[in-house]
Amino acid sequence: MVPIEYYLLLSAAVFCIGVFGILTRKNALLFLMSVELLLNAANINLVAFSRFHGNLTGQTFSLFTLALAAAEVAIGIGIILVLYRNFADVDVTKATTMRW
Amino acid sequence: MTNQDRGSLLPGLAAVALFGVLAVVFVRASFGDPAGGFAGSEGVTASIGYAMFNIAHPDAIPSEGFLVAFLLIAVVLDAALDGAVLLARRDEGGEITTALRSDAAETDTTEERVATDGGTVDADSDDTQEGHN
Repeated sequence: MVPIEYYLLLSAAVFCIGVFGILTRKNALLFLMSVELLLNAANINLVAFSRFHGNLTGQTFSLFTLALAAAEVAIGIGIILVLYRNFADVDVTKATTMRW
Repeated sequence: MTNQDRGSLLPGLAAVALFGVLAVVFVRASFGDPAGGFAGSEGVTASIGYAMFNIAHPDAIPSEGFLVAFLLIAVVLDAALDGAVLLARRDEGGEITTALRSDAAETDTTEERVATDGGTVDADSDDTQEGHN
């Protein structure tokens, strides 16, 4: 059985890649993909600890996280579509008129 | 080194530092002994099904019930679908244009057409664009 620390390190690496993507990317689609990386890092943790404790709660919860990610992507792509219509670009830094 | 490289250097260092902190914490932490696999003779997939609908089965792998969460997620997904459709459609000369209808531009005879959700622009303006086929 693979030690739990390996899964946690993998999860931390995926999470940090997602954080890096959010901090550096300007393209809204890449932004959305980075958020998905964060969610999937959490999923790795849930599944790993589910296996570690011999309980299925984590795996079942990760399925709900996936469903929530799908909902988030549906709304996110809709927002990106409106962003493109209004600014002819998907660069999140160009949408300055939508600021408070 | 370009400006873009310099702009992503600090976030890159922050991400690597975050990974370092997390790695040190994970490696030094004690998680106890693993359970050594799942108890119960049912498969993982079947047991997830039982857990999702709060069905008590003697051979299922132990888990909590998720029926309320299942219903809440169903509502959230439905709302997300409605929100995505609401955001994706737009007005074309007073008519709602959806993804399944692409002939609105051919029947558009108005002087102005709606280019954004917030207002109209002239048809010959440079800002207008064709977002449909």
